Amino acid sequence: MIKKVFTVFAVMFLFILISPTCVIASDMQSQHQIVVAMNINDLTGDEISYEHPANQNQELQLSLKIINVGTENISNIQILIVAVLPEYIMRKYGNAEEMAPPIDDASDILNASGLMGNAYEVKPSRTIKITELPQGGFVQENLTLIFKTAGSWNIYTIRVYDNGSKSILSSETIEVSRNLPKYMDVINFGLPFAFAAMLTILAYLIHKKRKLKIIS
Amino acid sequence: MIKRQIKMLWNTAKETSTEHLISYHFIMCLFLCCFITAIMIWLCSYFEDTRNLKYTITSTLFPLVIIAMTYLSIMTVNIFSGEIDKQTMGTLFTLPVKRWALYFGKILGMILIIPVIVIMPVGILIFELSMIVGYLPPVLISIILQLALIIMLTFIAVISISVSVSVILRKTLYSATAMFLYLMLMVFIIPILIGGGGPVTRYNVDYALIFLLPYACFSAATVSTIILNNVDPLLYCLLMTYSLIAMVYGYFVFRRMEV
Repeated sequence: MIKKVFTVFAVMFLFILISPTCVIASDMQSQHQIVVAMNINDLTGDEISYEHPANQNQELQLSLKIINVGTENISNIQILIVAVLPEYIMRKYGNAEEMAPPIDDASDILNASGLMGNAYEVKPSRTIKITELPQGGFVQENLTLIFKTAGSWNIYTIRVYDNGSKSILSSETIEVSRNLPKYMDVINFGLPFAFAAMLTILAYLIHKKRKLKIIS
Repeated sequence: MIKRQIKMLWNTAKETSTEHLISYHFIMCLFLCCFITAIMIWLCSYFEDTRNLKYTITSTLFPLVIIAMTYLSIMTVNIFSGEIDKQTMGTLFTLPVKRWALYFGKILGMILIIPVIVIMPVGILIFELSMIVGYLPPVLISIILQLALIIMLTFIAVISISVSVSVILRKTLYSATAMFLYLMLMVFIIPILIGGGGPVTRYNVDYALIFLLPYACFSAATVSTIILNNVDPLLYCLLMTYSLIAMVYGYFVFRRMEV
């Protein structure tokens, strides 16, 4: 037992060290234990953080390490990679006084992810399938992420079991910056004036036409 | 006979809406709505720390609704009470047009200008948001369209109540004052009814309380979109019922009106 606990802690500690944005979670639903380490950076290798956000449509590299830290071999592992903007996750609140509960329902996240449409892309696929993961073994997966919408994105890895149940393995938050070019202010304030000018000219012409109609 | 009256109704509606659409005060109102929308997007983009787009959209729509609601109620009061004051309503009654055709024609004329008031600022909102945040998720587009629909229904409700008030009170001064007080009541009673201020964490609306306040229905719709990603369908029903009751009540007064 002590050996098992030490093994888990050793692996977790190792991945915290090797990855700056590493998130680790344990899948405790079954007897098997899976640890997923997630690391997101841009193609130059720079870490994506709140201070260094990604740009819209920028290609990001998502590195996943899926490790079996359980006592048995695991077969047929299916992991989904989903991203959501957290404001679209509908959560069930008890009453107003209650604090917002943590997001722990995988189906809520999947529902919200379905609402995102093509706001993000995972290449080559959103699903990772592993046929066999031996005890103590790991699988490294490199994926490409593209976010088309600005915001604070939550990326989740969700394990889908054979019986259809789902559980969250790990999550990570990254920032995608807004596009605020210098000409934005001009467009922002110019549009209402342009519309008003256009409508005033139109109204003036119609008034003139009406007057001519009455006179004739 | 009915066909002719319906044609009269349509002509009245067309004339009323055209008269408003080409008026300079309508353009001014439209400009104000668009300008306020632009300013709100600008403020939310630069100064608001939250990255929640739903808050940006709802906070943008509130001032727009207040401005347009005030404009529409003033104009509606003007086309009913104004005509009674100027004695032109008496002339209209002598024409071979039924009162229902006249009444509903004028209301329809006001309703026809609503899409223009809503579509332009909402168009600016969608255009500028897509420039700033990139691809807009389908759920966000759906939220904006649902809110646009609820705004239109709110405006129809405000027009209906304005019509009722102006045919009951007759004098423009009384009607305008009553509508102003009603609008102020609606705008300032909202924080008490909905529990505004601070983060919204639940959607629990007392329909009986907000039934008489269209602006409260709009406010509840914004809360509903933040919490549920959808506008509560009961709010559409609530606004339509309110508009129908106010319109029909106004018609019964208008039918027996003597000028």
